[in-house]
Amino acid sequence: MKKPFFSKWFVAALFEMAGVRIPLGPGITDEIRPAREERVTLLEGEQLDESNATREEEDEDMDYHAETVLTILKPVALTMIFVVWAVKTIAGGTTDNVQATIAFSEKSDDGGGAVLWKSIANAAIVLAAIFLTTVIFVILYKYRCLKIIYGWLMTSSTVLLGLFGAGLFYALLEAWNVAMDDITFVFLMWNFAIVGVVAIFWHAPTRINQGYLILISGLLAIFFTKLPEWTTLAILVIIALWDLFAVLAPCGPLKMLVETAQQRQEPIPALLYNASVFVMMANPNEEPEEPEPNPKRKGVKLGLGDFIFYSVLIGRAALFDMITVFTSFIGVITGLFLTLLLLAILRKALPALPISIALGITFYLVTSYVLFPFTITLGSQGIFV
Amino acid sequence: MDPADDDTISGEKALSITKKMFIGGFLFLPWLWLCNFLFYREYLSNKPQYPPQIRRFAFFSLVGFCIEAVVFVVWYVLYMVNRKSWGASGDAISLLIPQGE
Repeated sequence: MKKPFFSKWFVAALFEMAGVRIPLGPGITDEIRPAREERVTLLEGEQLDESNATREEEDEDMDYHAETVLTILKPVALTMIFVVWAVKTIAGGTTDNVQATIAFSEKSDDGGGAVLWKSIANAAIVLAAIFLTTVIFVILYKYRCLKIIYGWLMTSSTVLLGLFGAGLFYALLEAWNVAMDDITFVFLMWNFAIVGVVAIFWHAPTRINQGYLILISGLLAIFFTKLPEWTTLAILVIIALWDLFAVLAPCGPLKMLVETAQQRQEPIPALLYNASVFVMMANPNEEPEEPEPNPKRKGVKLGLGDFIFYSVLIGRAALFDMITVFTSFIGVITGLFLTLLLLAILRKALPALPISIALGITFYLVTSYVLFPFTITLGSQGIFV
Repeated sequence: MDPADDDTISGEKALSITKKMFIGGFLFLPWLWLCNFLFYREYLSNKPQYPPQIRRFAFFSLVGFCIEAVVFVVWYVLYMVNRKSWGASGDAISLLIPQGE
């Protein structure tokens, strides 16, 4: 039984995706709690004054930033691994021939110019959908319609996990040639989706919560890789530019969202990955008699949208060859580290997409047009590098 | 709703969470029961001052999960082994038939 999942589902999925993307967080934000004054550790005999306040903060900050970098790297890398694995496993399947189309489908005999305008046109449509939903979302937040927002987020997540999860699971079963009956399939998907929403929006073991965030990002990213190549790249570029504008420009909707949330001292209502570390205040001059009474947590929050688009690029790279996967991975991670560095310096919400996507796409294009033919040619001539 | 705060929840809240997850698991959600048990293990097992009913909910969630897991595995194995011999009704409940059969 073959079901062409992607062609007619795509338009609905587009709005689904747009609805989930915006609430996927405004790039990367620094979480500062509690108030700075409380965090200073004094060495024995010292008084708290200007000079040690800053020094203590800086030492602590550097420590925790170093750790949060690693804490963020792990889920990003896991999402990418998941997407690459899934894309490669289902690539040989029968649904491969059906290309997802937004509005303009790239045909194989399109020349350079046609591909260019079609991909830009497709990306513009995606941008319009995202822009619309972002604005609606920010308006809802400003007028405190939190119930609508959470209702929207939860419905989107359930549909995403249920529908896309089922689609991926089905494609995997096809690729593995496994028999499956309706009852077991529905039972498994029902469990997967419901517990997913519980884990993301309510209480669940940490690993399960993080795992589901990674899965939901991965599912969307896998879906995006069904798009034709240049459309995907165009979408990534345009979304990265949008991210830059929305988070940094004074009239940017995401900037307003972050500012309103900070003013009200509320957490941002979005799907965010919370990478936090416990900061142990080690005091070398005193004996460690009691355990830390209130271990402070500091963290960096990365919006799920960023996970998704990083993985979309890597997934697309996987469809070319593994060599592009590695080089794009390096590009994206370098961009992420640079963004985190900027975050440590500037201490305000930053868009996590632009630098990573720019480096990632550059490395992808250079690899596919230069490095790959180079290694193939050398290999075919028996010259190994 | 911030999961990062889960290690600071109060005893009553913990009880209500465990209880709700236990009841929810009866909707054919053994995975939810397992998550309930793991949630207890991660956050609640080292806090003896919490209401003792929490331990009972967690324990019965684990028991429920094991039972349903066994039932599920038995059903799926039965299906996979006997699918062909069930003929028409086997095909009717099938979602995916391996190629070549």
